[in-house]
Amino acid sequence: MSASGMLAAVLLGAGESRDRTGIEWALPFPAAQKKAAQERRLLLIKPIAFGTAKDGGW
Amino acid sequence: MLRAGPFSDERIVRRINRRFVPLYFDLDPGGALRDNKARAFVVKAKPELGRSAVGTPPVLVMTPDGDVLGEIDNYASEEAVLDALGDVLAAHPGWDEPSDEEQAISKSGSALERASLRFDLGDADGARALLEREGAPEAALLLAHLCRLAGEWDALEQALARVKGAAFADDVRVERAWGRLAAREFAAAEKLADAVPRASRRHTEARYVSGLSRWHAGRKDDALATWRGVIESCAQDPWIYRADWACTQATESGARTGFSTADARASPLGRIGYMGRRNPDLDPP
Repeated sequence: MSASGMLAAVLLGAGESRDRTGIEWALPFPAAQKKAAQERRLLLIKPIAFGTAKDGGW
Repeated sequence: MLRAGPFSDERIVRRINRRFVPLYFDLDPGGALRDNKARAFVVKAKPELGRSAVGTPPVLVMTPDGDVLGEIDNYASEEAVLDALGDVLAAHPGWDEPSDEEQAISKSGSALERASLRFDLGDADGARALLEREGAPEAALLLAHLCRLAGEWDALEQALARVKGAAFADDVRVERAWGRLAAREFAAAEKLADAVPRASRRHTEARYVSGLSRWHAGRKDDALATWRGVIESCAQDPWIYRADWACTQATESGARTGFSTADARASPLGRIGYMGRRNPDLDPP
């Protein structure tokens, strides 16, 4: 897992409903934007309309 | 559905992790996963997403400066998502340059490392070409996996014949089970999948395949019990999401047109949002 992935895991906690697809989410937004600019990568953003949980579930 | 479908597809996960910086957040300013800076960034580019009531938003592909370069429908198929990711990178090659790590792998990495990188980047044929000449069981296993994803079943068996060693026995069983399933040899597929122990890292995938084998053999209740069993007993992963999607649709009585509380009850994980597209694994092989 990358450093950003580990950061996301820490921020999201170990809740069972958090995302476990294997996608290395970069959270929160400022960290993602900085990473994208530094690494010259595009942001892939999934806005969620409702139903998120504090443990990172959606 | 996005998480159970495209976002649990290994090819898509690999491509995203290699070439994008993925982020999700709750558009609702009061939502649990709210991110006000992300919301402001997105709403500036897509003002319609700032309204009090919005439909299911698409996935947005944006530059760090806020330009929208692509959108992917929330209900897109795995193939459509792969195509969309590839299209946006092809149209904007400046965002598709290899990293220093990737350049090092391309220059001096092992064949397996180079093949894995090509797989990540969507070049499955290039990966297979590299692996054809390799004798290591790990290389043969990845080759078999790529053959399976391509639906080339004879090539799958040829590659599996080169995977030696007890350490890979469960991998071979699972890959072969997918092949038997595609050949409509459901009893053989089920037997292979059921031989994968709980301690195996391929266990949840094996249970999913076992459920599919039962489903396509016409044993609907057995299939549902298999999927529910693995969902209830194992930590969540992409195969658990996929099993949840299959379970939900297998218990539906008709076409889905909108949310309902009944939909939520039908999902063992208690999830909603599977409407819009069938789990393609439930279609006859």
